[in-house]
Amino acid sequence: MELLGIRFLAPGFLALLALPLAALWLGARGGAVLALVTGTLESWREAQRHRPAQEQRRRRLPPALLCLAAALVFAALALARPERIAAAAARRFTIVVDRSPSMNLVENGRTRLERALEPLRKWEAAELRAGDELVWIDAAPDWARYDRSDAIWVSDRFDVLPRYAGYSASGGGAVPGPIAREGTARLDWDGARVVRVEGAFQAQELTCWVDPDLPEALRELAHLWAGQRTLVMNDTPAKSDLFSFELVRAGEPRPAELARDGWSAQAQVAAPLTAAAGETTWLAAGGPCVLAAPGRVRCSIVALEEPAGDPAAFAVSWGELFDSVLRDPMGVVRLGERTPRGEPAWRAPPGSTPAGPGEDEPLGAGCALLAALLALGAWVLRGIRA
Amino acid sequence: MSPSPMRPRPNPPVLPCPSVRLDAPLRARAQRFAARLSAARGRREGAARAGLSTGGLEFDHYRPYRPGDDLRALDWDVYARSDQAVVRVLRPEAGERWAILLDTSASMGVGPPGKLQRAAECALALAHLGLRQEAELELIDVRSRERFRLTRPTQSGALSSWLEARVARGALDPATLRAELAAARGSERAFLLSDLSDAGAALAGAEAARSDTGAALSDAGAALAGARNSGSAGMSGGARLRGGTRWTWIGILAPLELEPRELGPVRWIDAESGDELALEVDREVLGAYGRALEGARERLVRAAAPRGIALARGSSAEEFERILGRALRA
Repeated sequence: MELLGIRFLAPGFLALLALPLAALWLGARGGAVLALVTGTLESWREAQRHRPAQEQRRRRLPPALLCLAAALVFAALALARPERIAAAAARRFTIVVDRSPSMNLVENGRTRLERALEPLRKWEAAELRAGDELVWIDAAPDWARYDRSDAIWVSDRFDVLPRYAGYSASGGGAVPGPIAREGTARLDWDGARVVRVEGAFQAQELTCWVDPDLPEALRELAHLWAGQRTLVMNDTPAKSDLFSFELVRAGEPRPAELARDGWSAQAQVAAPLTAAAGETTWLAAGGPCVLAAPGRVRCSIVALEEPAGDPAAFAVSWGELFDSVLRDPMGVVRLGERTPRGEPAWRAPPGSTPAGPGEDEPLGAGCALLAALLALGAWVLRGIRA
Repeated sequence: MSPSPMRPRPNPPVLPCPSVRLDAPLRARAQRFAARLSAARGRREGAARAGLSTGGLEFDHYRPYRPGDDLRALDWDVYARSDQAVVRVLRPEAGERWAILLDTSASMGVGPPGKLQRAAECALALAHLGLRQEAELELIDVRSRERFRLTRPTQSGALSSWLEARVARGALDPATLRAELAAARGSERAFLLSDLSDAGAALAGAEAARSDTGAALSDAGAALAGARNSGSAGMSGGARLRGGTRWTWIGILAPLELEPRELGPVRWIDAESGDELALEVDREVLGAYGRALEGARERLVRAAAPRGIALARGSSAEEFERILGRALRA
């Protein structure tokens, strides 16, 4: 039975609502009139004659009776086990998706991601009700954070299965293909061994871009590193660039001392950078000043003096940063991603089961608590007249 | 006491406190109270003798000394001669006639504590006081007209039994009241123990009747007229009400009547007639009731004062000693 957005799992108990109504009706009729014998009836008659104008006022109910009636109402509601309908429909599930390159490997015409999402779509069609909400999250570094009964993990294989969350693993066999680049040569894995293919990459596939406004030391270092990695320097940034190094100039530059990996240098830095999705802070001075993400580095260093200490430490430090963000050319997926993933696996999240009897407890318990408090109030007010 | 005519009811209301119980401790208290009061009076009269000779208090006779008597009243010469402790009894104490009128109408059964119970306790204490002063006592039930006479302390047991046999019931017939008040006129002292709830209206009615010779006296007025004129309807001569009788009217009300609380909806039932009045007893009504009660009392005081009637009011929640203390000072 549904009423005003509330579902009653035991509606028969709503019949008890007649009790407080009856109590109020009896109270309004003045059922509890005191009968007292007196020898001064004439004085009472005179009092009635000289009573102020509000003699004919409407009978008011004693506060204790009102409290008792309210307590009975809430007790009846608690017994009827109310459940808020809106609360039952508003379920939220978190879908945590592994976005590593292996998920995009194609097998039998479909990617591993598509195959992993297949059982999820079936579950969604069968279990989700109108109003249910799905929240999609790219795989976080810490999967355990999402080991919850309302979450579903999506990947190609789980080395450690979640304890509480549902999961969907695409599984799959090995996917041979390019696994690395060495200059313009490409290393291909055929499922058993690695084959080197010379001159496989054209210059337009190996482009990068370095912001010409960067401090000279950084700009030259980036150029040197790109030359070593056989990258072709573009004049303007392009989406296909495997690496880009950009200066973000915002706000008034301020002096700062930068230090990392054994080097240090005085610098002028612009306003701190705000990390975008997937970016991590590599260097900070009163806020992030160098952010790194796959394929790009953003920095706010406007001017840089000669680094102190070992000059090699400075070059190695930045070189390692550039190497870590350098993307592989299109189609290259590391060998570890191409290895077999075993059988597909699926488990629905426990939280996906329909709302059970326990979910109405907060409403029912609240009603019961209110009933108890009102009954206590009625007991306290029992001596007070209207 | 409700002298106005009331419509009889087939089923009179059940009274909360209709009976009287005078147990041994209570009887002892009444005797102690009388002894204390008597001794105090003796001291006052002794002082009067010392300063102003006997001041009109002439020797009448001797009686044996009783514990509680003022030692100054002891006749030491007689004691020296006869080795007997005797007390001189002076003339004003001797041969007095006391009348104690007790209202046992149904309204006296209101309580708790019961008004009749407290009135009976007062009557017992007054009787002991009279005995100590060697008065001739007559107790009268003004409703049933039963009477009890006693002159000796040895009859106190019978007095208690007579008082315990009183039961509050029925209405007080105005003619009966009139007759009993008139009969008491021959006494030197007379006490009326009642609730006096309508006595003020009765006295006022009597006054009104006196100024209107063409109108018949109301029952209430006639009752008081009877008290003053030995049954005559004329109202002249308020002093004749006294007629040498010192009257003390003691009105006893129950706490529910004197100081009712906010009770909400109440069905008031008249103890005597059974008439009913449904009333919401709230603050406003309580105020009006208090004013009505006070108005009745003022009417009674205004009417009683010129006639030399001493008035006292008490609550049945009070001890009889406090009520009588006020009444005998009044």
